[in-house]
Amino acid sequence: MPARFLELMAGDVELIDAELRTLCARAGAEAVVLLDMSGAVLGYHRIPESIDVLMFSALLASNFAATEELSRKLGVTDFRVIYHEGRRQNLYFDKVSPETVLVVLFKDSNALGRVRLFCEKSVPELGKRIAEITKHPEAAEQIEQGRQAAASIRDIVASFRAPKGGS
Amino acid sequence: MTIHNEPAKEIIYKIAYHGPGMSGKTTNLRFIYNTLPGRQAGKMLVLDTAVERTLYFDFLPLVFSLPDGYNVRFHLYTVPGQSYYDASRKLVLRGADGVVFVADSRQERLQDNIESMEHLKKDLAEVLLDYGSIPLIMQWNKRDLPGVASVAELEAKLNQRKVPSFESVAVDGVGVFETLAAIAGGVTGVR
Repeated sequence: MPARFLELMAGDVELIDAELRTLCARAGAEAVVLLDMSGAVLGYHRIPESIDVLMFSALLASNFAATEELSRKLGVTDFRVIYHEGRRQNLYFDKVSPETVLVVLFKDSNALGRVRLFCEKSVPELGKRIAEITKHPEAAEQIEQGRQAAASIRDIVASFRAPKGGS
Repeated sequence: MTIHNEPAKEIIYKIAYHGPGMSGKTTNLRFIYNTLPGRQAGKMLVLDTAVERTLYFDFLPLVFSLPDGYNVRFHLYTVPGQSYYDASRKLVLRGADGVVFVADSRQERLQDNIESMEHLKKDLAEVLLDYGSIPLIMQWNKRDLPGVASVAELEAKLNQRKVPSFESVAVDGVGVFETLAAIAGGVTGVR
């Protein structure tokens, strides 16, 4: 059963961001994003303002999941990487954990081998961090705090019932 | 999967709108998108076919800022209703925190609704989610059309878990926010 909660503490976010920054620099990438297979962003570096990162991540996650499913149906059991070659920019996907994927956006002037090499260095580091996140002993307590914070949404939820222009 | 980003003071929930083809899942999201102000509703992504059937999924991110500085985000997805989109429907359900089942109330679509509910149970199991415990809300849509089944019949045939249900005319917004409020309450634990 996959984890129902993912708890990102300040230290986790700093370490993930540092790893993504390092990868971006070493690989000469335009941008990097780490996302959860449900489509949520866990971290990113240098995503251009012109890109809506939420939409981008939803599409990237579904793209990876679709190809992974296709591979499974073809009998491929160790599927990990997708390379999408565009005219000017390329995308490189690398699976970090069963529920996490790293995506690198890079120009065609860059070498795929360079991107691949540094992804191979970063993926184990990110994988270790993700594994640690799921092992946080305080996770249940923290998520309860989150729930209490979310309880404040009661007023907002009530406002759904009389939206402007609604019925 | 609920994501709590403590330093960003952000909690993210994923909600999937499920149901048979043309039952009004995308219409729900469009009404929400058209009604909420831009600071609460992000850009809506629609991946549909030439005949306006959802090909892969629709995606609408919502964000609500709380007085204590927290941002609660709801990522709304619709699944493709047609049975031949089995694989992509399953992928959209991956990591969902809650499900809205949008049924087409017309008598002639009753069997489609039943089949779609069976797909939901099967798809949830395949993505390791439990139909018996995942927050679920039922929406009886298209109540304005002639030849609709009674609510009692829909409840008996589709709502085995006896979860909250709402009558709706999504195209006019009737029941849309009531449904959203209920599933938002379900996934956050707020009642």
